[in-house]
Amino acid sequence: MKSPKIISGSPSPKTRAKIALVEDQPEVSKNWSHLINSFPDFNCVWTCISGEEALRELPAVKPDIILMDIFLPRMSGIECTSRLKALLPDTQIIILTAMNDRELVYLALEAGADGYLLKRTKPADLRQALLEALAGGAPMTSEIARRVIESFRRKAKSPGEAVGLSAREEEILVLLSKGYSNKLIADQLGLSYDTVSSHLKRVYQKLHVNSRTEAVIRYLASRSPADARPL
Amino acid sequence: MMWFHLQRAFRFSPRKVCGRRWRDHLRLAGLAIILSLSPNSNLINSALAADAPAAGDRDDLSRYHLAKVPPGATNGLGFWIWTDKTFDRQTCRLWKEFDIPTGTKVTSARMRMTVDNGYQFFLDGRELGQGADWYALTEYDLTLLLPPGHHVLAVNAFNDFFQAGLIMDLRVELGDGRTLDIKSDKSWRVVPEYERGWEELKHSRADWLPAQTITGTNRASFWNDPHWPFDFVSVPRFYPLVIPFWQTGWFHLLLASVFGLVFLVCIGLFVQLAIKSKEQHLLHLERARIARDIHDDVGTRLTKLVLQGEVAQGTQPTNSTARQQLDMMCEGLRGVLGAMDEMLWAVNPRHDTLENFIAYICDYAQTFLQNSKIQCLLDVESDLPPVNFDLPLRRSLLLVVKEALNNAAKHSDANQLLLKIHRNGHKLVVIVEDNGRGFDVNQPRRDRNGLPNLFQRMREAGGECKIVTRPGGGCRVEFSISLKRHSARSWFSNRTRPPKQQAHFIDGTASPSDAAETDKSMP
Repeated sequence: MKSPKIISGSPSPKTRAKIALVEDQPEVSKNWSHLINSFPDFNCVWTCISGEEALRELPAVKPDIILMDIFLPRMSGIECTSRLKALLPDTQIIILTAMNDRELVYLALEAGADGYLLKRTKPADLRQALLEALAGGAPMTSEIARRVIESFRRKAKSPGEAVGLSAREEEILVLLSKGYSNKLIADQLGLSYDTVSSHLKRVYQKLHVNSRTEAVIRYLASRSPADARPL
Repeated sequence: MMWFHLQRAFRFSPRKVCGRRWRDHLRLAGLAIILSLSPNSNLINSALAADAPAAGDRDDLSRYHLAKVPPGATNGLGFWIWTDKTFDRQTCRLWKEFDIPTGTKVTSARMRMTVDNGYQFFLDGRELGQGADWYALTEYDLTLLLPPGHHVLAVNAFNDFFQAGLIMDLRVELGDGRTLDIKSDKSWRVVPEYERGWEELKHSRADWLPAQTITGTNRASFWNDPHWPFDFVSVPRFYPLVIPFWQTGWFHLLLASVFGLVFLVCIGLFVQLAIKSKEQHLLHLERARIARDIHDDVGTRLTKLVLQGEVAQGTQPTNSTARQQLDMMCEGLRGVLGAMDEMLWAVNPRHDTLENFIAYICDYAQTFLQNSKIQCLLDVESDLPPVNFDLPLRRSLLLVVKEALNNAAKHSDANQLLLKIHRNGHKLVVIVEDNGRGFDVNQPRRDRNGLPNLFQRMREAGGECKIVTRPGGGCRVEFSISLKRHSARSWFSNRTRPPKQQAHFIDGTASPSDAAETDKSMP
């Protein structure tokens, strides 16, 4: 089902970025891979139908970008993201959702996802998002920026292993939460666009680290005191 | 036994109130138990022997006591009476009813009485005294307790052992000179043991046997002693009971019914509350289910269709009609999914919080203005209270904010818009402010039909809407709604008052104070 357009004017598959799909519904998976393959710069190299399968197979595939459905049988897309990120730190993981559920999206970002896309995104926008991801962009909306600030402030109140934000990072987040675009922020702070992006990227990493720390603490707390003592 | 007698006799102070009655019952019961539980007890026998004068020392005793006994103490006394049988440790209830004639006053009523071996007596159901023993006579002054009418004298008499009997006389002198003499005789009745509350009965029953006078050999020899009684006690005058209103039956009834009513009302409120919270809970469950269904079923399927449509487009030649139609279909489906996103947000009870609402409208405003030339800035107060923000309220507020954004995007020609959310006292204030061309409120244009809607909606939600604008001076739409009243309203939602009309349309050029407000420039 490859479109003739790709065969004619696109670079060879070797130079194309490798995309993997984790999606339990075969039709959706088929259509997505078709759309991705129709872009000249991307190639859908692997599809998995469950999180378990993805954890087993994708580390060997080493895709550039993983598109992860959030609702998967058994292991959720969020959990799978968290584990895959540990195995493939350089791979961009983008969460796919059918409906725009902000809570889930935030959880996914906390778990280590690098972005999210609605499944109904227009092909052109999808390509743009994939290109940005490939360039290492860390898109962040005002709402997420505000939640990230709150999350870090909450953690700052309870001293622990939580990683804090640098002054610059916080500055960028505050401006983001007020509706400023990355470009405006760069202008305002006298930084380059890429610097702002890399700051945001680091924020995501810290968020991920903190959420993992939190998860470990939660896990320890749930065990009985007798079990916890040897640690 | 003398001490006991005196103690009993004087314990009844003239103003004895009801409260003491039960205590005295107990005390008497205690006495009866002691008497009956000590069979042939040496202690009691010797005590009685000491009190009841033996033949040898009776004269000394008499001489000693006679000093206190007034002359004529036994004048007019009736017979010794008892029931037809006499045995040791016996209780005998004796009863006499009589009438004081109407139309006259009792000037004096004195009763002398004794029982071998002890008694407790009631007048019209009121316990007046207890006494022991046969050798002493007690005088009671009942003058104030005998108004004209029907009266009942009830005596609970005890025999310890050997002979038993009651002897008394009630002498009533009337204002018109007549004298009434009620004595112990055969007109007294014996109340059977099974009768309950007998001392308070107003009339005797037909099956009550008459009392028997004790004559002949049945009489105790010492009753005949010419020196009897050996002691005489005069109890101070009795006064009618003054029952304070808080001790009356009707007051107790009233109090009980008031408490009962309060209790019932409380129960009612609790039940109502329980039902309401149960309803609320069910509603939440139902809303969560609908949200899940929209998401899992409709949302997922429509998404699949969009994808399929996109893929199908790719198979059609560029600029073909089929391709254009498929594109329109996909766009339409995206619109439906977008609307469903909104419904999903509204219906999900997880989002019934102020924080969630604010996050939503900020995100909405940014997405809405994303592809316009208006830059959307946000100013949200941190530390807003974590209050509940229920569906009707957030829907109304969302609609008015959307309308304001829509107006700004369509008509303002602005390049910046500020969405400001903060708290003012207990009010939540949402401001949509643009730096566009503004308008003259006195000349509303046809295409601004949305404005009256804003006022209408905010009124219905119990809030306020204020618009500050002037030509060339931008436009500021301010919505405010009480957070406090809202939480109170959710409790008493069925008795809300109609909200006051509080919509203001302020012309920026109208007055200096308004102008000052309008002059606030955009950041």
